Amino acid sequence: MKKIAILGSGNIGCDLLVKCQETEGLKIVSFAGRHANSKGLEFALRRGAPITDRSIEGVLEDGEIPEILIDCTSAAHHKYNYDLCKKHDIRIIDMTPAKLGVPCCPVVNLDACLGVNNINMISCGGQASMPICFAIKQSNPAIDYIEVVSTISSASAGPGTRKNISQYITSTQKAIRDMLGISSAKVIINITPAIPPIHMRTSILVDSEAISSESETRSSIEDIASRVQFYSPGYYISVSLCQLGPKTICQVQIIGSGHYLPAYAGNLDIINCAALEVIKNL
Amino acid sequence: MKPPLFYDVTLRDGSHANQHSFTAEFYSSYIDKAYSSGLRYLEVGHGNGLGGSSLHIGRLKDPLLWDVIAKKTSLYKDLKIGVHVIPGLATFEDLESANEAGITIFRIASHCTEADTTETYMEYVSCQGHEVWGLLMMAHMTQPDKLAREAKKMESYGASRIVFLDSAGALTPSLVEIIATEILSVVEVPLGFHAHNNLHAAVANSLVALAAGCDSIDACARGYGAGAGNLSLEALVAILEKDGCLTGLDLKILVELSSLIEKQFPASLPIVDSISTATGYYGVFSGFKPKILEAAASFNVDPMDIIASLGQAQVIAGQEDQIIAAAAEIAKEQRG
Repeated sequence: MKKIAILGSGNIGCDLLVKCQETEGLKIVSFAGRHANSKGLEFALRRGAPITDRSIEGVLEDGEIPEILIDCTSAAHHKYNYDLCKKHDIRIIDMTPAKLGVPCCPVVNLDACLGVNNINMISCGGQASMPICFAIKQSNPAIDYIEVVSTISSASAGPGTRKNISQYITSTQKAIRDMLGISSAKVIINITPAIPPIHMRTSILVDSEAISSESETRSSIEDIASRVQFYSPGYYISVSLCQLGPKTICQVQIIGSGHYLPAYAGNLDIINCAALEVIKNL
Repeated sequence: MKPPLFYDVTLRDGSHANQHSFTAEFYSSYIDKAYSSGLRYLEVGHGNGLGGSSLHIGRLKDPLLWDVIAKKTSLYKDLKIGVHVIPGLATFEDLESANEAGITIFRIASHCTEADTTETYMEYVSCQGHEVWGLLMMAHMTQPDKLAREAKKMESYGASRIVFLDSAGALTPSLVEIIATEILSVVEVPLGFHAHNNLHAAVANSLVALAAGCDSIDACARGYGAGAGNLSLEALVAILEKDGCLTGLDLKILVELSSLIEKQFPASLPIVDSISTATGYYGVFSGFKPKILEAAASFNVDPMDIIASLGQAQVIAGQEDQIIAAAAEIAKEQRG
């Protein structure tokens, strides 16, 4: 059994709790928050997880020491948590946009991440777009610029998301540039209050002139999307690669698993599914 | 009647009309003439504001625009040049570049129900000591009392003025009056209004806004802006002057500005056509017009079907990719 601690009792932490509990071979040894009566801690208690309201200190002092800690706090708190984990030889999966660990997208570079002690899950938009960006870049090595536009429902965007929009953009841009070896990337995010809440949608755009073969690119995208579906079943291509003058676009939609938040929260689901896939392989 | 603050958005909203192809040369001559007319507030940049230049929305064609802006801000000390900032498109780095170019007004905007996305951006700009306004876009997409609560949030983040935007030209005079009254009943800061002309109501709506207590008005020379265009600056000034309100602006020069636009952009002068009426009726963002036509041609579908679909899906500004998704979906259905 792999011993897991979840740090941070918001939407991400609660959803990961359900996912870990439903996965064979994983044992939750600690679910940590900061406020004794928080909704997240109550949820974890109801699900039978050992809880603490003393954050990382509670994880390290109150119970069984985990092998893996999933940091669902914030970029600002991550460094402190990471330093403590290093001291205790605990591997950290970083769900925040702190940019300290190795950025990981399972279908792109899982193997390269298995040996490192800090694995960064980039962002929801990063997990949704990276597979497609990677497929497009592989089929068209000349590509040097990629744009990613995500739209998420207002209901799925918590206070942390809303306060960290600029950081979300810059860290996702950096991960795309670094992982694909391109010189620039632009990331855009929209939050829509449409009722009923929409499923997360992410569009990937490139300059048409950089596409050498549309059909080859399309099949490469279809191939990678089907591999993402192994760990994120609600991931599918909603607009097949098409060219409109100078821009070529492809769009994916993510229907969430409905573990903690309803199915519209595909943004929450895909980053958590990706993290779970990493943990299973560690 | 005390004249309102005239905030000229031609060089920003007009960027939608010509698909972001203003030149540095045009910026320079427009700013000089606008200054000589007495205008002291001008907005510049990409139609969607800082960070808007993209394949998704359209790229700014002339990279020298910012050099001109930096020159003009140092030349005209009492001229305030502003930018439109949508968190999600713009980053803190973009705010920094604008700061370096001498921008003094930052209009931080969100969709009408998402004011809390502006908090950290407003804090960032306030720390630099600049003027921060809070803008609520697509104001027709929520209830007036909800809009007032969002305005109150922006005020609490440090906005020194609130502006509500009829981004789709979908508001009616009676709605404008209700919204202005509702917002002014909860905020202490002054209120402005930004009209679009999709239903031919930009002038009427702006006059109602002023009567209801708004004291700033966004407008464009020749109404040169997204979709059916904005409020025509010279038309509003002419009406106010005729009614005895001394605006402090030189109407003759404003007419010359309008004529400058007509000469420079004969192919993209805004008109109220069938597309604009449909977008106004369905409440679809004005700036979508060229992209709706592009997608309709690419997928061989009727633009009216796209507009109805976007309206039904409550698509908001920034979701340009959804125009393509909607067109693809309609084409698929029609092929059976």
